[in-house]
Amino acid sequence: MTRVRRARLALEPSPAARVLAGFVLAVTVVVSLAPFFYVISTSLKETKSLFSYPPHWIPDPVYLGNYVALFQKHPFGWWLGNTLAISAIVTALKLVIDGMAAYALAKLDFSGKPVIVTILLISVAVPLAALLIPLFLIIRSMGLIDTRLALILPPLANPLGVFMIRAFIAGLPDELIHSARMDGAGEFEILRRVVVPLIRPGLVVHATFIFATQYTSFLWPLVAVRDLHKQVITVGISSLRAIFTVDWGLISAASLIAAVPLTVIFILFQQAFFHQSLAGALKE
Amino acid sequence: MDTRPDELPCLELASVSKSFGAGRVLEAISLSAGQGEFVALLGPSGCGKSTILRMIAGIEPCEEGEILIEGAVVNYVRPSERNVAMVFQSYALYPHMTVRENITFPLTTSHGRHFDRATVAKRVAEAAELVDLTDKLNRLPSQLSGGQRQRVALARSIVRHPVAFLMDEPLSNLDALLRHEMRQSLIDLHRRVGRTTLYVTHDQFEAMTMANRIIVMNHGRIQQAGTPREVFERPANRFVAGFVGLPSMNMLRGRIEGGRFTSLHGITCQLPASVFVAAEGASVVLGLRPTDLAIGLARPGEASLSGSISRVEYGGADVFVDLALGDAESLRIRVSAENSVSLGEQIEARIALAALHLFDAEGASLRRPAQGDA
Amino acid sequence: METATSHFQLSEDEHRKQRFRAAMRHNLTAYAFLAPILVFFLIFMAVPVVWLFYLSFQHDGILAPAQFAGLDNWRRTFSDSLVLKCIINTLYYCAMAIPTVFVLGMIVALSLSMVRRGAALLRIIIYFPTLQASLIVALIWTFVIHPDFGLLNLGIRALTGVKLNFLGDPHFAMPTIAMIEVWKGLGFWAILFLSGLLALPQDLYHAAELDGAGPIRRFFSLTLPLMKPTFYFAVIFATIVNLQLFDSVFVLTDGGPVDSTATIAWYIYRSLFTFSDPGFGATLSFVLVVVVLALTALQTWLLRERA
Repeated sequence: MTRVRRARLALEPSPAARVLAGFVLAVTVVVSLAPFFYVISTSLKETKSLFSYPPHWIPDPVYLGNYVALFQKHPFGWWLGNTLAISAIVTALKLVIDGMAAYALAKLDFSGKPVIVTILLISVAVPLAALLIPLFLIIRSMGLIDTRLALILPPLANPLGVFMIRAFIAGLPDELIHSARMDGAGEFEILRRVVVPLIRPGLVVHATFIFATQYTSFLWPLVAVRDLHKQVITVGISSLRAIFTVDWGLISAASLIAAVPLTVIFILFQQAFFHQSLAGALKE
Repeated sequence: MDTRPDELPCLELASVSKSFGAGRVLEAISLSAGQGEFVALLGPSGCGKSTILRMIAGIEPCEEGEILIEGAVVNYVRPSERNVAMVFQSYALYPHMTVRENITFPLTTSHGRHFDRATVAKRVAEAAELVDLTDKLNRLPSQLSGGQRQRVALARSIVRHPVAFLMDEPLSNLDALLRHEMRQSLIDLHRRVGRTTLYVTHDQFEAMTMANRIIVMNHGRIQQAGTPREVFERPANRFVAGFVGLPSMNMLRGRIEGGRFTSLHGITCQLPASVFVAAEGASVVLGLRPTDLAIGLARPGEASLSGSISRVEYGGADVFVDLALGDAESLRIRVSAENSVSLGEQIEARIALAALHLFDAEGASLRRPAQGDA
Repeated sequence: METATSHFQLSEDEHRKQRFRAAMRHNLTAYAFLAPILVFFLIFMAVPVVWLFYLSFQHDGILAPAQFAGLDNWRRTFSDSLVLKCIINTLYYCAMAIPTVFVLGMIVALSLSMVRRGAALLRIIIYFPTLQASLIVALIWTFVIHPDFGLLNLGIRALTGVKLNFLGDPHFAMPTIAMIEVWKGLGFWAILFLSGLLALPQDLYHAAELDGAGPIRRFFSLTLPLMKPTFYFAVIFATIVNLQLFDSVFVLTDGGPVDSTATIAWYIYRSLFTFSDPGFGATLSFVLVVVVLALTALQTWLLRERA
């Protein structure tokens, strides 16, 4: 995989500027990570010890009860499992659905094309919050409230991915597709054997993006699912707050574990991710 | 047409026209390519030749006229079912597949031909051998040179044993030396494989040296179709005359006066008796090939023109000079390096009367049709 | 010249028939590819939008059967004081968050463009907060701003001996949420602006330097104007996203204190589940959709101008 080349501004910044830049970035890094470190520290303490002042930074003794409680007293394992499974399924399905539609829009001619494109383009902007109510009513009328299906199906509708992938496919030379057609390949075969292998990096980015969006979605699962065993991790963690007392230790532990899968996936694919977003600018 | 009338042409266009939006690209084209013929579609960019190829291949829809392959109308037949193979200018190799996989691809597709493993392997090996790529089968296209990629594209089209090959300027992306080699390879290939080939090019030299028959096109119309010799020696109009043969033909405007040609600026030239049909006083254009003109006094059967050398271009074995006839007109002449001429020199130029060309005001040839002409 | 063959093998009728069949085949294949997304789109996007409109003319429908409401909901939308508060709150939030995150994002982007080593690692770290769920971020930040043991308050206490209750004060609540969202969004915008910066033509900078323009002058006269397309896109996109603020509000303040953090999206949710008034919520939702679509259209028009 090609590495993201470090960007070079033709004008070399002055040493003073570079020092300033370094300072800014150092501050940014600290500010970006500090809350997480505090959370790590908190998760390893007993909640009641939090209220002592002055605070202990390094937990002493290190308390693992929070983590244990997560799995024993709460369906945390369920939440994690559900979220991972649903995110993975939605990602896989979205890749197929968006990929197919993108191919049709990019390389096939058919009547009504401008109409379809316009409709899909407009609907990219429609906010999920606005559709909450009718979506809820529709899912309820399908009898799917409180099912995992309710969490998988609606996200499949957003056409943003279609246009992303379409841009990648449009970048492939038409002659390649013509050649495949003349060689006897059917359209789906062309998509499978010629197009997909050539847009793999783009698909990786798209998949990462969908996975991240699904993993962190909150509003819709909140509305669509009541049963805590079927719930996703965001809503689950939110439910850890009781009305009057909040178990901060517990919540810290939960937030940390929740952050892990997404972070791991992101680190794995960040090369492709940044390559795509910065690709237009970097001259290879 | 030089195909035997009772033999079915392999490829045929019947009154095919094509528009892209508001632009008319092809105007009632009718042509045919016989079995085993190597036909060149020659013309400048934008004349519609590539469009014809794409319509025969099926990747461009044909709405006006009929396209026939082996006598059957294929307008509405899928490209994969037409049994023709196309070599694109950019080769269109699948970048993520090895050479072997590229060549094997047509034999593994859903609409393609299907054979057992052994036959597939045999065909692939055959095709690779024909283009001399047997030792490169495991490479990726990115690891090959331009010429080698070209040959992979050829092999991929051979492997299907199509009834015809369609080639869209396959040599334009190669440098001059490579082009020369590949030209030879293609001619050899055609001799060995013997299938009908329709070859699109803008390079008149390629067309002349490779084709059995040349179809010259301009602005969406066929200007002339014939053997290379016919097209070169008896061009049907000014366009063909100027397009075929480099350096291009000199054109002098004028009229017929007293049975002779008189140019706009008074240069006169004798015309061969009863070769051309031109009325007295008619506006005409006289054509003289730089390679037919020579320095020296006119001999019997030759016309004479005089002027002064206004430019000398030394090209090694050939020298090209511009001969200024008076103030406004000049002729390009090819001179062999031995005849040294210098700038400003007053010289006589001569040309065989039989080598003269005459065209009317619209550009059509005024040559009287000879016996046996189509 | 080749003689024109004016007799065709197939009749005009036959041509028409076959042309039709071929066109049908083409369209069928294309629509087969489009079918999945179109089906889901229809059921989960198109129908809901239409239903919104239909719902806006109804009362109830959740606990009690729906009743026709005429234009009641619409009238309420334009007169309800809470609706007005929500809109003001949301706009107030956007006005705070968007400029802040843009300025900070640009600063970080500029800094990133100047470093040599470790750029990849820096990018990951800076993007880390953006990656997390809004909810998680909000929860994490409640520790940071917690009156008793939050990081910030520890610092403030050490300095001034006072404890600040960020989220409990109607004046501070929304700005606090804005601060949290800025922290979360910084990574995304920094990367976006970075890609914009890297795409700028370098020749202009060379010319400017030769003309004697210093780095500050170059920034204001060259960089900022050249980044206009990026900024136009950024503003509209940020507005569309921030108009839908929900997660933080829901988990941190639930609209309070004293409705100071009530946002449009929050009110829509509440109208469905707490107030059981889907008709009204639907009206609000419809208005939200229209506003967002209008903004998108504006963005498209603006971007086209610059292209």
